[in-house]
Amino acid sequence: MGSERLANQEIEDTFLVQRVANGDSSALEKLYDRYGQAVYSLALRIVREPGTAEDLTQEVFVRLWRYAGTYDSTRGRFSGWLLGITRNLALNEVRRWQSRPQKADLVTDDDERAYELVDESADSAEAAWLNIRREAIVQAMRQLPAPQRRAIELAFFGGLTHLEIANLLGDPLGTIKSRIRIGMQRLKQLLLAQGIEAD
Amino acid sequence: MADTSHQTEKHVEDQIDAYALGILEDEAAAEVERHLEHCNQCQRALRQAREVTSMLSLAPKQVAPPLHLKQRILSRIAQEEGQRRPETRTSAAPERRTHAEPDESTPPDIAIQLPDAPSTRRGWKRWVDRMVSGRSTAPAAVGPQGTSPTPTGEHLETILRLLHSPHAAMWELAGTPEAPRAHARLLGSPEERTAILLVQGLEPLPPGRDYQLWFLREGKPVGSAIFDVRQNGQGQLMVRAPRQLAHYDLAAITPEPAGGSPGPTGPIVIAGELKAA
Repeated sequence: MGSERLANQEIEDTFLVQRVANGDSSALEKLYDRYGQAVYSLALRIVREPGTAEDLTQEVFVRLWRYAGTYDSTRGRFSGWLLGITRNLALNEVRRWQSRPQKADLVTDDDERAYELVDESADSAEAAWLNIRREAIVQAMRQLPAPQRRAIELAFFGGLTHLEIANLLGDPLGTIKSRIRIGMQRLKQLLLAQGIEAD
Repeated sequence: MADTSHQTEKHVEDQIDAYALGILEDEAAAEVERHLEHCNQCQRALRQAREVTSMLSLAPKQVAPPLHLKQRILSRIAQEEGQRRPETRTSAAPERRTHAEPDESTPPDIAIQLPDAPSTRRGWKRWVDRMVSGRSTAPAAVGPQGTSPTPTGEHLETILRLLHSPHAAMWELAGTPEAPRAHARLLGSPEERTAILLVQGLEPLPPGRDYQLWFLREGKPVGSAIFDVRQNGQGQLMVRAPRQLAHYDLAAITPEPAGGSPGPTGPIVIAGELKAA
């Protein structure tokens, strides 16, 4: 069911984005219903402050409204594009607050609770589909050795470079590079094993 | 884009994951980008890495945004839209065809309704025999915009050609969550532009609305047949794509204002891939 659902979802997203580009606010509303929670949750995970996450979520959808015409479906999924904008805006916000996030802010998700599979009140087929994808990545992250997982988290949610992660954790630079590279490869394999195509 | 002229250059696959994560130092990132310009292998690796980073975006514990946020965003959009009108959005509307290719700029076809057309290839042969011999007793359905429902000689010839073509294919199109009980089949040949569309399980539309078929290539839609279904949710019609069907990778159906739209405006109710037969 996964690939067919995925194909339909992607086609729908592409059509909705085109409608947004044509000035159809009802299409934007539908995309918010579909991805608003994912955008807000990612922003909240990075900035750790609900009010700022709310502001960022608004900014993401305002940018979608303004720049929907620049989305090119041949270069990747819409969800990846939208969440990529979210991550960039959130990381920029964090960098604006401080030169770099502090260690205490970044390592708290080493806690297993960060990957709880909570009831996400999937009240639509779209939400259920997103939950399936989320469950796949959560299960894959859980299977990574903790040092690999931590390094990837610091890179992705903290926006830190190899060197910054090495300094933060007190590990050699080569070790950090290896952990991220091996961890990412392992994630690809685990996702593929769950039927999530990585291409 | 081929790799051949740069075979001596070292691949950057060991840095692709870090590049996709956006954590390479500027100099290293620039080196990766230079290599990516001409290396298909590393471009593939980057696509795979980006799929993983896209999935990582979903990993955080999901938290419902405040209920007022949606309205706040829509209000902001409305405010912005009011400030920009009329020079931007309104003038942009007629440009919806920018995605269409030059030879696809003709108005969409009005579909030819085929009364009581069957749903299997074998049934089609019997149906064609009836039509050719003039023994059809099917009541004349009224097509959109007064189109005659009676197949012409050209249409019958098309059907016959498809039925006898070694390349004929039947593509399955599935209902989306907007119309979960709907589905359709497209009988055609990848080498031809004409096909027969069989639809089931679609809700008849109210006056002022029509269904429209779209063919998509790399996510870009081009309009085709406009039609409605009968009270039983079924429709059978002949459709024409702007190019050979092999040119497209997907087909989709949306409800649109009567007469169709230059670009899709309604939700997709049926969609499916047009894989090679």
